[in-house]
Amino acid sequence: MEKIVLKDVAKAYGKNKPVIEHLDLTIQKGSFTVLLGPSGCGKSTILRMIAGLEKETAGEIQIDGKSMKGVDPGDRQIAMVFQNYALYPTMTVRGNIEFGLKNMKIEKSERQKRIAEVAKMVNLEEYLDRMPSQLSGGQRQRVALARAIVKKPSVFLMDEPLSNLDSKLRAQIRTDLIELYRKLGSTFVYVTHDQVEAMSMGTDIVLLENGQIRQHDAPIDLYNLPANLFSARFIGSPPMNILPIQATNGSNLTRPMAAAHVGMRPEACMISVKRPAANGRMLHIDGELVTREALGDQTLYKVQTPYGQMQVKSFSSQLIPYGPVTVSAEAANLYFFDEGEQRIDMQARSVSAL
Amino acid sequence: MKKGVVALACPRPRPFWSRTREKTKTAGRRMLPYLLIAPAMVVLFVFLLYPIGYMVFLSFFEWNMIKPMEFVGLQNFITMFKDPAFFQTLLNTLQYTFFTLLFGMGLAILAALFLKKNTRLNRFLQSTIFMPYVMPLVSVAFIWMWLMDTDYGLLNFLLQTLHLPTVDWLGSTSVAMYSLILVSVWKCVGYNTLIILSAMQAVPNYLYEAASLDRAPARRTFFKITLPMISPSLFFLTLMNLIACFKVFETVNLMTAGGPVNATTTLVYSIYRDGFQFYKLGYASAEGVVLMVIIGICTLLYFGVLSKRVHYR
Repeated sequence: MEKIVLKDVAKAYGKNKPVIEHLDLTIQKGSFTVLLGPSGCGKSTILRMIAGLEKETAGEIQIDGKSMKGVDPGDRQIAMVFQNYALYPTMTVRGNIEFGLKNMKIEKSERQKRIAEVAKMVNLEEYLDRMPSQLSGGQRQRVALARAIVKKPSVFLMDEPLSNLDSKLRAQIRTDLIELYRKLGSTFVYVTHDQVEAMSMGTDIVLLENGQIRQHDAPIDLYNLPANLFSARFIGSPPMNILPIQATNGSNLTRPMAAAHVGMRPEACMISVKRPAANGRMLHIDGELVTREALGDQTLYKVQTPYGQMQVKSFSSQLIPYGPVTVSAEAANLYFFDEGEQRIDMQARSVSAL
Repeated sequence: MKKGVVALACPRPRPFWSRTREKTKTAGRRMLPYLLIAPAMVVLFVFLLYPIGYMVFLSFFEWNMIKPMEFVGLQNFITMFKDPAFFQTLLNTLQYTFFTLLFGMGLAILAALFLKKNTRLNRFLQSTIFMPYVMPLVSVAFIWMWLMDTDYGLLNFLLQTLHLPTVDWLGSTSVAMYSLILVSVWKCVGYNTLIILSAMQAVPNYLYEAASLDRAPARRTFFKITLPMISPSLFFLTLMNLIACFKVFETVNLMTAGGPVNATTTLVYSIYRDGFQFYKLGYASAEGVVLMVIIGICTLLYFGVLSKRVHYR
């Protein structure tokens, strides 16, 4: 069932060129939808329009099937967690959490019950009477979460809530958020530029570029079946190797007629010193090893080939020496993209044997 | 070797009398900061600390600038606290201060709320409302005297055209003080507005966004977010206005000369009159000491409250 629907939404600031145009997006009820994209792609703007903090220039936003035109942010049954937490600095932690409840005219006993509940949930019981300035970044983050949870909203909106935390804390709160999502069963809309956050938490990922949706899929599909070059390059670390189709010339591989680019993930590539014997199921590309990063459990290689640089992620503990190398990939792990940067579906492809 | 170990074990600095070599080396360097602040300190001492000390000293004497000074102990203070006119003076000062603060701040907050939106008209209004502050108080006093003239003044002319009873602005014991307050509010409201406005504009917008998501109505947002956030500026203005009000002199001297029947005699005007018209310098100094104590207490209160209120920063 759809929870939030954006219909042909556009947003422009002043007389400038619109940042978002003709955007259609459906967010399913109970999903953890991540709006993912590089900075400036309009993901925060979309979130703020759903929240009602920005007014859409054109189009319509519906929540639970009702148009949100002219509905105040406070009346949309939503809660938002801001990137900088936006805690009220003049109120205690308790005051921060209670503020929304007071405005909703909830009785004192009920308020206290809910605050106690939520404080326990996010481990803030000892800090209820502190001021936000006396808390660490992680604690402030939890206050912001508590302030959202306590209102029992049907939608949680989160605008890069982890970006101000150090990496260790980020990983911890990431798992906390997954737990929270499973516990509450509400709809989450989460904005981030970090693909790890998107992949690890999301049930749906909306990949955006320049205010347009490039792909809307489950994380695993986004990884396995990128719809276009942008998706292929954005998801995965390091990103997918994209080479011109000429790289497959003379390899005896089957490839679609319309293919203009060939892609392969670094983790699906193999690197070797000696060029293996050619067969119809492998693609081999010769090159020169440029850099090598041994990370312990894996090694990242950067190889300069005549068709461009390639990266290879190897899980072998055997280090390849600097010098000439060959990068190989199985035919099944190759992706083909056409002139318009769209991926060519291999099931329905038109095969041309070379 | 062993010496080094000992030195490590007790890193306490050597007492000053044993630092002979270092002393000669660094004495000049250590004196340098004092040398650099010396000019400022001299000015501070000659024009601030010495006069204050001399005032306190004078308050224990009787002196009319001609006869030799006569030590009278606390007599000046005793006379002062037994004099009902002195209490009238204190009350007048408090009345003046209270109403100037009330209206000066209240109107400034309202004006700031109104001018918060950055439009071309508001920018023009901002500079307009600030204008009284840059005008010299003496000319302001004269202009207002002119406006408040019972027979030819603009204010009474307007009242008359509206068929309302005219007011004896500066000649009535019950109205004169409020006329002075009116002038003082008119003069300070622009400055207050400007400070409050900049404080309001410094409140981050995301707090208002969070409040709107929390369903806070406009009034609650103002009292729970805007007001606490600008409270440091409000406290600062309160103290500044308070001190300025306690020191009011020009308007009183020019517009009412403390009258009618002492109805507008304030503390500083009383000091001036006792000291330089009646030549009771000791008594005037005693009044000055009282003023100093009052302002000192206000300042201490201010810093006490401030350190408590602003710790969220």
